Amino acid sequence: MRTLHSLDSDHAHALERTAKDSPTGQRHAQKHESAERHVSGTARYVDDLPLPKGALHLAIGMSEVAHGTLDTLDLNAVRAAPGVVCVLSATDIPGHQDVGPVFPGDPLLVSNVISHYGQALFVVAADSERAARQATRLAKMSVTPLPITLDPRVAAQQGDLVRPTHTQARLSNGRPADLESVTKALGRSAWQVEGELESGGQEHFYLESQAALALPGEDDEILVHSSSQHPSEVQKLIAEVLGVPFHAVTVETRRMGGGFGGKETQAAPVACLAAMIARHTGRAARLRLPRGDDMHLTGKRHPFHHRYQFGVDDSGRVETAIITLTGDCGHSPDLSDAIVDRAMFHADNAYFLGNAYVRGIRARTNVASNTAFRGFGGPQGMLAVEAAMENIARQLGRDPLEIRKRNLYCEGRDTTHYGQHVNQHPLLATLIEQLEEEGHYWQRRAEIRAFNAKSPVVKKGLALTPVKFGISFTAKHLNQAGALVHIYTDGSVQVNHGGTEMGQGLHTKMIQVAARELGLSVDKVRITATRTDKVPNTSPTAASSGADLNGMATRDACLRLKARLLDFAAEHLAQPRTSLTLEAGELLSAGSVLMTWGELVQAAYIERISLSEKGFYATPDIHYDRERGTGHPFYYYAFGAALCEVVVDTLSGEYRLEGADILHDVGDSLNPAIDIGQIEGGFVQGMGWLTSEELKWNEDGRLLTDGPATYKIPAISDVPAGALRVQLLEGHPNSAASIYRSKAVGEPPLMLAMSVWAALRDALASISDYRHAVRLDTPATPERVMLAASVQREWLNEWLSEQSLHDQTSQSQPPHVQPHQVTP
Amino acid sequence: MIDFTLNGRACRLPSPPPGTTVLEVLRDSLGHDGTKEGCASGDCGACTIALQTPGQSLTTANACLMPAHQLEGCELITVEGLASPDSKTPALSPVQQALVATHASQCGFCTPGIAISLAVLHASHQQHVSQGNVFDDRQRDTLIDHALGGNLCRCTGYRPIREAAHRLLAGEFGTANLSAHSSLLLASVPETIVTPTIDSHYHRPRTLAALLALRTAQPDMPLIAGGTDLMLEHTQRLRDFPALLDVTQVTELCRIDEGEHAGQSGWWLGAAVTYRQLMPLLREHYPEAADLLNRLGSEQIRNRGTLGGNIGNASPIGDMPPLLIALEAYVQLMNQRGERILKLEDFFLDYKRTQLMPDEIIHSVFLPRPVKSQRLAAYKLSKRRDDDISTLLGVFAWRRDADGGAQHWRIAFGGMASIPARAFHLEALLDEIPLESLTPATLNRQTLGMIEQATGADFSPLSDVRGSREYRLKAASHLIPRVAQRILNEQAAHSAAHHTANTSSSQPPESLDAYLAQS
Ligand SMILES: Cc1cc2nc3c(=O)[nH]c(=O)nc-3n(C[C@H](O)[C@H](O)[C@H](O)COP(=O)(O)OP(=O)(O)OC[C@H]3O[C@@H](n4cnc5c(N)ncnc54)[C@H](O)[C@@H]3O)c2cc1C
Ligand code: FES
Ligand code: FES
Repeated sequence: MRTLHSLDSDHAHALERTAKDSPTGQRHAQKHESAERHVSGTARYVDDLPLPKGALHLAIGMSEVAHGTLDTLDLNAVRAAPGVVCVLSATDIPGHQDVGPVFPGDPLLVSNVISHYGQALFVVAADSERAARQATRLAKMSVTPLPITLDPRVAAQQGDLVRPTHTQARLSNGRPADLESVTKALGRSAWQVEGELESGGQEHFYLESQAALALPGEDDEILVHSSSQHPSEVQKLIAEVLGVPFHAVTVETRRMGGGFGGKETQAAPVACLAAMIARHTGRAARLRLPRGDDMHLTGKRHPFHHRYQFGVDDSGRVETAIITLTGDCGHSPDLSDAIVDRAMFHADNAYFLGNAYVRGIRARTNVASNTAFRGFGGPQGMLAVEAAMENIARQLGRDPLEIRKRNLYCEGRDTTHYGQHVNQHPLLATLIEQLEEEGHYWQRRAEIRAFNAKSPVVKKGLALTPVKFGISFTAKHLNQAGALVHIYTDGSVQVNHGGTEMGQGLHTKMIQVAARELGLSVDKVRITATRTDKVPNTSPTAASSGADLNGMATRDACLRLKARLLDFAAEHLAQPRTSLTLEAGELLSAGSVLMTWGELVQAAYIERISLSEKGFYATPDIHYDRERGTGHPFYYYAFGAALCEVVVDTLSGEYRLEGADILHDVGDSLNPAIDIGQIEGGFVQGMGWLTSEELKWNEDGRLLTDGPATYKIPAISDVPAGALRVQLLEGHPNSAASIYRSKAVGEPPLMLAMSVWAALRDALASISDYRHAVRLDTPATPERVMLAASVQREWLNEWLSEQSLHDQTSQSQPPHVQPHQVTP
Repeated sequence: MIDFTLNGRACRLPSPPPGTTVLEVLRDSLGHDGTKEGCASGDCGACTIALQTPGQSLTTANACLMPAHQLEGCELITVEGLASPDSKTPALSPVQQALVATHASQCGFCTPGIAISLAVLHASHQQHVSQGNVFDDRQRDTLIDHALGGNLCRCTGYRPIREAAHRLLAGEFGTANLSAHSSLLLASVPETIVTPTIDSHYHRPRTLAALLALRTAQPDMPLIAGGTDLMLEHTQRLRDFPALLDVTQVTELCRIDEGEHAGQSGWWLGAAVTYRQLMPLLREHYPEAADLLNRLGSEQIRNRGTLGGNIGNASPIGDMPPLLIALEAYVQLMNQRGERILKLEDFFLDYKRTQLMPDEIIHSVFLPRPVKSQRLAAYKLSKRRDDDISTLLGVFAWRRDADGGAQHWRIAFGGMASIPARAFHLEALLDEIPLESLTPATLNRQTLGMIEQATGADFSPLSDVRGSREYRLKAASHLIPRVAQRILNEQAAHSAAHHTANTSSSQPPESLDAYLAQS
């Protein structure tokens, strides 16, 4: 493979450098707190927990139609099956039937109307999981079928929406607008660029499927281990389903084998069913979804339909944008309102839209209810504007990078279509220009053109795309967090906070925060499982906010403890309070050691000083007026950019990533190793979404791609050696007062993968000698890429015959050698 | 009873129902929870275990698809057995240290499987090195791709895992110690695990005669070889097998013998020969077939899947049948009364229907030795490069004539019809039309139309999850310019080699693979 002009990709060096900054591991590339347990197989997941005697194994009986009324459900044969202990259906639910997280619409078990294939109808408890699963197949039911809708656009036309449509409209001068005024503005531009796009959904494919273990306690008490990103909501829903007060229910999450948003709301029904059986039988009950059941039952990333019209001036600058985003929400609202909102908030990606009209439609279809997935609608929102950037470039005969740069937020063009000023917007240009230069964009552009001109089958593509992602929950009340910190008398520290660990390294970062505040090495601090009885009323670990919110809450608790200990020490040791510090496990006064941390803690304990503290945090400065579609919904923005090169076989549609140079803004990193891990993992997951991960349903609404045999997430050779080169942007701390001026990193990198898709389109554009931009719906499977290449060839043939009509003497050169401006 | 060793300790397991998997036994009966289940269909690798069968090298397998009865006589190593077993403190093994040092686990759920795949790679790499083989970085990358192609990780994006692998192979974390466990040394008191015993209906005959006798007596009893296909019935469709007939202990079926048939010399490949065992022969005589084999399933699947299973399951998308049909292979069927030998292309009748009689087994396949002018190209198209079933597979075999042209076309496709089949119209087309007018650069609309017509005359594919009918027809047709260009490029390189010292081909690549091979 040709070596690309690589950035400094030597992670080890970068990491070592930071490691030296803080020898106690408070800020450096500290390894994951469970790394050793992961590699030894001793990290326990819900399905690994030891079961008490008599524990039951559960399986869910699912519908085999996508829409219909459940007229009768005969479970006698299920009950009679060998090993079966208990079978429950909707009528057995003691409390609430609906487990919709925000709006109703998600029956725990269907009692009346079935609204998607694979919906839960009943739950079976048996001596073994196999017996339970086999028994589910013995149910007899009669269902009166109802018409099904699978196409969100059809649903939208019929007005079948899960939530009302929302609009954001604003003129470039900041005045409110409507469709009419924006349409008028559109007509005034020199160029109009319009198009359509469909983007497919995405299965989370967390390696650990949904799981819960319910352990009945005394009276109405119950402890539930749940593989969940949102233990507090699981607690609430279990309590409501069982009809008991919240304080009877404790939910614990030690770790998840991956979440990605898929365990934000989707974990709750599984936990509720386990709790119901445990309550009903008085026995422990475990439900772990087999992969296929998980894929049928749980929601996915929303597929979207995108329609866009852009008004552009001669220089390629966008003056007006009208974007309609139709989200395929599945059968119920779930989180779709906020997800389609977030798509709308990101319809600009990193570009100033000028006069803008953005509409978000929430269509109801008969599939599992689509849900949170890393990016939460943001990635889908960005696709239209990124598609348009290339279309504008081809229409104007410019390089797409030039068009992208021309449209980035900049001085005077720095307010979004929902009226929020983009803080730190100059970072966008910084990121792009650094990659452009260090990645030798123009040199490679020239090389690629030369290569493509001589290579009829194999074509290369190059693209450099930015990302701007808003950080905060758009539901304001969720932007709060709590923590609980205990110091024990041996000096060891236990931290608990409301966030959950799903692999993203949140616990590791929280250990680092506590260690830093208390002046300890990280091995003195331990994080215990997230539990609703330690920190109550928590928000989901989502919206990339885990470290931001819980880090501040943990810091708050530690600061209080520290203040209390130093106050005590000042008095106890008769030292000036201001001279005292805690560093490297010691109490110092103006640099000289007074006593060790352990001694200090002992002394404080003897003097009856409390060694336990809770912390709290609420994000300031955020608001959004939904009526007007304006506000300041995000505390800050995180930025990034990626430069990607691909090679495409235009006859088969096969392609390969040749290289991705990524530069990403995490402010001042809390842990560079973990942040780089999030960027790499997010990028590859995004690449899967846009390339190989294809969900297919048959016309009856049955998901056909219901396992990894047919649903293909990226595998190792999709990320060739040396192809992924990630750098963190240095020297730009967060301008908002976040935890140590770091930035959230969970979601934003996923959207860096748009550069892969853009590079594929670039390679396809070469077939027309960069004259024509071809529509490329996602996922851009080899099939879609090959068919798009055929479209390009057809286009070229037509263009050539038109040219020869125009110019009978045929003066013009063959297209692939036609000179073309390559530099801006 | 099943006797085996588990991480160096002798283990005696009461015989579970036939079809019970190693993963079920590990997690449910033996309390070894380190090995994870991510799919129970062989596709994710979370359940990867290491196995040493007598007389063979250490290999990986998917515990979720391996029948527990096949553990008999094996050494089984799970993630719990990676760290040095005799030290009281859980010292991390080299592979574990490498994964920790490179931050290669995030959620950690894939990690046990990845650790096992890497540990086995480390051990086999070390063995190769000790035999004097050296690998450069790029070759190591290929080894890593092959070893880990069946281990999905949803969190990391693989970059750190690859780094861990490289540093491991470079010896940074010490030597591989996986094969050090020996049952002889460590077998102490056999552990007895109490699970309900039922009469074993899992038959593992050791002689061909016994196998054929059982087959005649109970033709309904499913045959099982590697189980990488059949076991999905147990794990996905929840079918309980009352009994199974295992062919893997019959020596005749596990052998590769040189021999002759229909006047040609070649090899008799036993039906229970695994892909892994087949690899060296293909590498030597049909390198393109070996490359194709490396894209069949994953390492775990190739270690256990057999030729007989690939033919026996009569799948329209199996990768070996189109290859073997294009190479004019034969299949030998046998029952108690005798044997018969058919051309493989005549074996398949219709969707999942073959010539195999209920009392017959597939005994072996006859693969002719390549004649000197033999050429082969195998093009597997799938959504993903690693571990994916073919959307379509086109295999082209031809002979080079004196002036470098092609003749004696044998073309077979998978994924284009209800059975793997020859493409007679395309063969005729290639006989008629000069290659020069079939290349991507020279192909005109009319010739492309002729190709598409021939493809359409040969096949009428369906649309399914892997691809639409339209894509299949077009992509299959597009393989003709690809193969034509390949032959011309070869010719050009050949004559360049004759005329000048400079052999580097300046021809544009005809495919992505050709591009990757060039660069
Ligand atoms: C993750 C995964 C990936 C895969 N990828 C591919 C791929 O890329 N390409 C591909 O072609 N296949 C693939 N397969 C399918 C499968 O692995 C192969 O077809 C394999 O060759 C089957 O061999 P086996 O020994 O495991 O068969 P088994 O599962 O043991 O048997 C398969 C069938 O053949 C019958 N059978 C076995 N031996 C005989 C015999 N001697 N005589 C008569 N009948 C017999 C069995 O009764 C059964 O019906 C994949 C499977 C998995 C799980
Ligand atoms: S569990 Fe996924 S391969 Fe075995
Ligand atoms: S670390 Fe989560 S799947 Fe690999």
